[in-house]
Amino acid sequence: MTKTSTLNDLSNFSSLQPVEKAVDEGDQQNLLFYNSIRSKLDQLVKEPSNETIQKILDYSKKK
Amino acid sequence: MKLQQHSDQDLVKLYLNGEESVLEELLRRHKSKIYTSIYLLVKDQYLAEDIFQDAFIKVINTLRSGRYNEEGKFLPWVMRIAHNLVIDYFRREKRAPVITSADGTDVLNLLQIHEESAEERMLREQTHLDLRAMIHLLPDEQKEVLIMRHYADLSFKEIADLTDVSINTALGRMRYALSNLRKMMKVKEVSPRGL
Repeated sequence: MTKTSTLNDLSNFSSLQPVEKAVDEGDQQNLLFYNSIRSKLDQLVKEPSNETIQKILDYSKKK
Repeated sequence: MKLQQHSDQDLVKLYLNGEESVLEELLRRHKSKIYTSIYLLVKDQYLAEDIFQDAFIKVINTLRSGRYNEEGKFLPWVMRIAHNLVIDYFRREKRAPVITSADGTDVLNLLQIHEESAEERMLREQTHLDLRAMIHLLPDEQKEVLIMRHYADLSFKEIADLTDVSINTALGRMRYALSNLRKMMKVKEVSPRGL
């Protein structure tokens, strides 16, 4: 099934929920573009160091 | 019931009841979203670590003092704290975010699932830098929405609340962000597939 979405789909822009509304061409292009770069955007995800996490946990224990 | 099966709200309640270990679960759940958002805004690993830590210290202090509003969602709340800390930082520095040539190759290495040639690695690292540089070239308000929507996984309503604008404005900023990224890629003759 081909899924479509729109920027008007407020909560699910990135999850591509099917919607009934017609969307303008600009939104369609943006959506297609967004879908084409999503995996690349995901590859920019980073994590804090274990040291930082441990400092937070230690602080919580002291409080 | 395992901690992983609890909602954020349940975990917060458990934490307030003295279950120290649930903080680890909350951090495990949200650390990437929050840290990546901070990092992409400040573009400095060490600064991002500091802001991330400060945000959670504020979270802990607020929870412990009983000032947490249970009606709010945990992630948007933490994102608001982190966002305010980022704004505070730029205000202190009296400068707007600028483009730097951060490398970020450590993350790329983690994502690799096969042996790659030096050429492949160089290409991957370059395209990574290109995409991140393009994100940083976006006007601040557009960059913010893109980062909060994609990385922090906030709804447009939550982003609108956090940035004190209407939902339509937040949506418009996302449209412009995507439109500008598309234009930048066109100028650079970069295909999204090739990024």
